[in-house]
Amino acid sequence: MSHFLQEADAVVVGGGVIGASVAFHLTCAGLRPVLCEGLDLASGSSGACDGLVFLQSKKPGIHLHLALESQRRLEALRCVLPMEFEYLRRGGLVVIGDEAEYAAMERYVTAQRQNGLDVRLVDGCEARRLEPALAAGTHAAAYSPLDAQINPLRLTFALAAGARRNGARILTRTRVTGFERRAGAICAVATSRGSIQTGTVVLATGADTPRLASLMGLDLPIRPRRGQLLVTAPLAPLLRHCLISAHYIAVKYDPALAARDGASVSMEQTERGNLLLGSTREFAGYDRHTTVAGIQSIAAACTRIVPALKTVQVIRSFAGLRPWTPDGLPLLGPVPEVPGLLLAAGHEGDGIALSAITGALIAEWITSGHPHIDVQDFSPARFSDRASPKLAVNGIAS
Amino acid sequence: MKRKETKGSSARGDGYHQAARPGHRSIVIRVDGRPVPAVEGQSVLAALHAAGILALRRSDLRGEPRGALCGMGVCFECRVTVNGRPGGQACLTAVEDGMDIRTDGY
Amino acid sequence: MDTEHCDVAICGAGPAGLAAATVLERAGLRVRLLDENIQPGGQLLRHTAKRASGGVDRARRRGLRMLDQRTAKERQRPSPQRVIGIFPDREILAADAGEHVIRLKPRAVILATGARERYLPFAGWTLPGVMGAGAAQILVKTHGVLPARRLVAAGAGPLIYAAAADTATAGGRVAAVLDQAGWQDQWRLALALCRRPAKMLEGAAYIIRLQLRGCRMRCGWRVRSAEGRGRLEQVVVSRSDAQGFPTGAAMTIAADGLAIGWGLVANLDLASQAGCRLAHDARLGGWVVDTDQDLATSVPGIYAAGEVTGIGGGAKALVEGELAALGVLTYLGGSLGRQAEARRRRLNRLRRGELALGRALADASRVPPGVLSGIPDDTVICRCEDVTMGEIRQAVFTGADSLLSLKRTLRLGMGICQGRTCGPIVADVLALLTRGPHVPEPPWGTRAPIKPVTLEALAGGPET
Ligand SMILES: Cc1cc2nc3c(=O)[nH]c(=O)nc-3n(C[C@H](O)[C@H](O)[C@H](O)COP(=O)(O)OP(=O)(O)OC[C@H]3O[C@@H](n4cnc5c(N)ncnc54)[C@H](O)[C@@H]3O)c2cc1C
Ligand SMILES: Cc1cc2nc3c(=O)[nH]c(=O)nc-3n(C[C@H](O)[C@H](O)[C@H](O)COP(=O)(O)OP(=O)(O)OC[C@H]3O[C@@H](n4cnc5c(N)ncnc54)[C@H](O)[C@@H]3O)c2cc1C
Ligand code: FES
Repeated sequence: MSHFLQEADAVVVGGGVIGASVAFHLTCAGLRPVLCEGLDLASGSSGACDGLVFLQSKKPGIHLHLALESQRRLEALRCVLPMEFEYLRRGGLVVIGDEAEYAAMERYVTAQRQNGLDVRLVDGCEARRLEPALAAGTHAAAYSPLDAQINPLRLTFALAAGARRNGARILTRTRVTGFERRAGAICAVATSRGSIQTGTVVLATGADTPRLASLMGLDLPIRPRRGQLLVTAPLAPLLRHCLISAHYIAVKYDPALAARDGASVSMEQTERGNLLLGSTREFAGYDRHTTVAGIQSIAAACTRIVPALKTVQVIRSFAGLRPWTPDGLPLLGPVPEVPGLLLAAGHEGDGIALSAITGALIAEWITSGHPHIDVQDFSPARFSDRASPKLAVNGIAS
Repeated sequence: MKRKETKGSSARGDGYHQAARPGHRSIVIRVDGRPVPAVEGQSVLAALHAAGILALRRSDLRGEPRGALCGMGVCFECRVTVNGRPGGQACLTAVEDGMDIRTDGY
Repeated sequence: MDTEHCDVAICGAGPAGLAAATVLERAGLRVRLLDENIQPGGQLLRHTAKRASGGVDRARRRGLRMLDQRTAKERQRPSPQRVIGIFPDREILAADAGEHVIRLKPRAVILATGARERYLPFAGWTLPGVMGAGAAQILVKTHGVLPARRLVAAGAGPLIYAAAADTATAGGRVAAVLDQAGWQDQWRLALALCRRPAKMLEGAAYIIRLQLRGCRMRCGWRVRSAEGRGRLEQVVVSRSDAQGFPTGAAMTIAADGLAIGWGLVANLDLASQAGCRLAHDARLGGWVVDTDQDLATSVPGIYAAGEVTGIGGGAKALVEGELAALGVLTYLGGSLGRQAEARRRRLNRLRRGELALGRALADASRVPPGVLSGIPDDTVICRCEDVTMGEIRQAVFTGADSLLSLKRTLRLGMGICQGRTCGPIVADVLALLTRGPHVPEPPWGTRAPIKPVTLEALAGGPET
């Protein structure tokens, strides 16, 4: 291909919210990266998800710490990026169904408060005062004024537009097909439109990351975890807050509660007025179909929590693949086995919320070698016993 | 082609011709509170059109009046509120005696 | 949610669906025929306010006979049912007017969802009173209501003439019929129709009826804008050149109805949602469901028949309905007898003839690119999300270079109709703005529920 560029400071693979953020932050550090996206921007999970920047759902500790910093950065980005992304700090309610959930949430909320999150438990009455659409019998809720929402599509586009404006090249419909290595280290990326010489590659390919990593002999524990979502017709303002069910947190962090039935749901009303009602958590390979059982369970759970939804029309559904990891934390940073390779993947259900901090950390790694936060817990090396790099010098594959 | 009759025939409010349909019962539906005659077996769209009611909703964002485009269930421009339930397709809904239709929706 | 079992679910009760049902029921299978319209019969057999004999059209006569044979059965039908999705393992959800959702688990499915009209936008096309030629025809023929007191019909293809003639016959005034196609295209059309004298007769009858009532008919004319306060009052028209660009002075015609249409496109929503592979054939209406010889789609157990496999008209739909039914019988394990095999060969031959005719007709009524030129920036293209031509131009200018990127940037196709109306338009506009030639990009996928349904209905019944 004649016009195809031949060289780049860094190649970012994947045009989801994470890849776009990495590319943008690299340009802020003065680099001119190339972003390669196999399809179009936001074709993966970043275009098939909710847009919650929900702090209450983050595990107390480094995870919450990262989310808080990411939110501050997202707020700052609103003035920096060339496009608006419908950031709305509505505040969030975690709707608690019964006494058992309440007990679990009490422990959880205490830990979150110790971590500096502005959150409190409210009884059913107050929950309904805050959010009148909640069902009459609402047991209780946890409330934080910080929880926010975003339009994830627009955030991805805004980050990409910012990166492009700062000198990055965004190549869509450019699929990465392999990696060339010299003495083990990456020296070029092969794409469907030609090859690019580079010493630095960031894999930001979400749930597809294991496939690409396997081209370099790496066995990553990221798995696609399907989430189905319903979209309603646009409505006059109905929800004042972003809502999730306590079951959602339980499923994420408390195995005992996860075993109980009842779907974990999240609800948000977009700026346009549509409600996004989600979402299932299933391991179904790379299958992005929605299912009758999935749709039915979301509809049942949401109408129970907000009965006014009963007569509201659903206008479509879709499914995305969350990049799941065994410990619920993403893989961020260099891969010891392959010099020049960094990972920015595995954000499961938090990629939108963590997008800003992820981009910043990866850029710091590439430019200075050490990020400003200690992120040992996210190091890809924590799964290294699984990695079995084949010592191929030329790991090219197609 | 020569310009003929510059005045647009105002159809506002007054009805369109409706052929007699032997064997079909005449009924009455209510549209925005007013009685409108209809013929059993007809679509809500046809009954409204016969009564000269062409604007069926307002577009969500610009607030423009909109009327039926496809007449066959594809375009969703004919959404009306049927017996209190918003979003019904007038062209796919059969009239029923006493049915309550509202055209003030989005 | 109640679950029903049946052998075959047929989505769409037009000629294709009816023909398939007839064959399958004769073979002793339990068939469920699902259609969202108030009356069964699809687009060809629906015009029955006066229960026509079918006229000269053989396909229509045959279809009406089939419909009559079914009426007793159809009367027991609870209510019209819209299919809202086909899920893995052929699990089907359908909803009725009362928002009651049922679940079907058929052993095979036939998609016979027909075609819809193709529209091209112009300034003012969203005014009430501007409607599809099909809509006008349905109003006057099925429901006995005049589409307008003074109608203009414009666009391309036979439907605008049909709508105008039916309106005139019912006592409405037709001010003008403006055909996009020039005389050369008209001759080509006439030549193609020589193979179908009945169709030719039907066309001639329309024209004579219109002529007798003093309607002006013009070839090589187009609409430039529709105007009025709150509803249509007048139509601005002019000549157009072979490329579709307006030439000559604009003229104004007073009218309270404008019937438009530029041919047909396949109703792919359900096929797309079900995951069936699509194929592009510009001469069969663009994107269609990809099928093999037996009309099997790429999804096991799902067959397709009628306009969804390519725009070809009623006779093709009848042939394909029967063929798909035979395909399903083989799929379900029955071996066809010698007679049926012979019938299948004959049907395949007939089908090739219909396809050839469809292609010839399409050639004669292609839409030139200039028709899309000169659309003002503030003209709404996506009627659900109020996205304007200017926003599309801007997005393309700033880098959106595919249907999908336009969808994600502008919310095109994310509205309640899922892009059924604006999808084909945006594809044409994009090709024009980026100056194809493009490998045509598949249309936006449709998602379940392909037609809206309430949450309560979806939640219905015990949780799973
Ligand atoms: C139903 C659902 C709800 C969610 N809700 C939330 C929420 O409320 N808040 C939140 O923070 N997160 C949420 N998430 C999670 C969030 O969507 C993800 O964590 C995030 O989108 C991951 O972004 P990504 O850029 O890593 O991956 P993706 O967006 O999947 O991007 C990966 C990209 O890589 C491309 N790619 C793959 N292979 C190649 C190749 N070989 N060459 C070039 N390109 C390639 C793909 O085409 C894709 O565009 C949700 C997810 C789902 C499914
Ligand atoms: C407005 C219009 C007028 C036409 N007039 C003529 C004519 O005069 N002469 C002629 O030869 N051809 C005409 N055609 C072409 C016509 O499409 C074919 O001749 C013939 O009707 C095709 O048969 P079919 O069975 O493939 O589809 P159709 O007859 O279109 O039948 C499809 C059926 O599927 C149903 N359906 C679609 N989606 C769903 C869903 N999700 N759930 C439930 N039901 C669904 C529809 O309600 C419809 O009844 C016309 C087409 C249109 C659009
Ligand atoms: S007029 Fe198009 S859906 Fe009713």
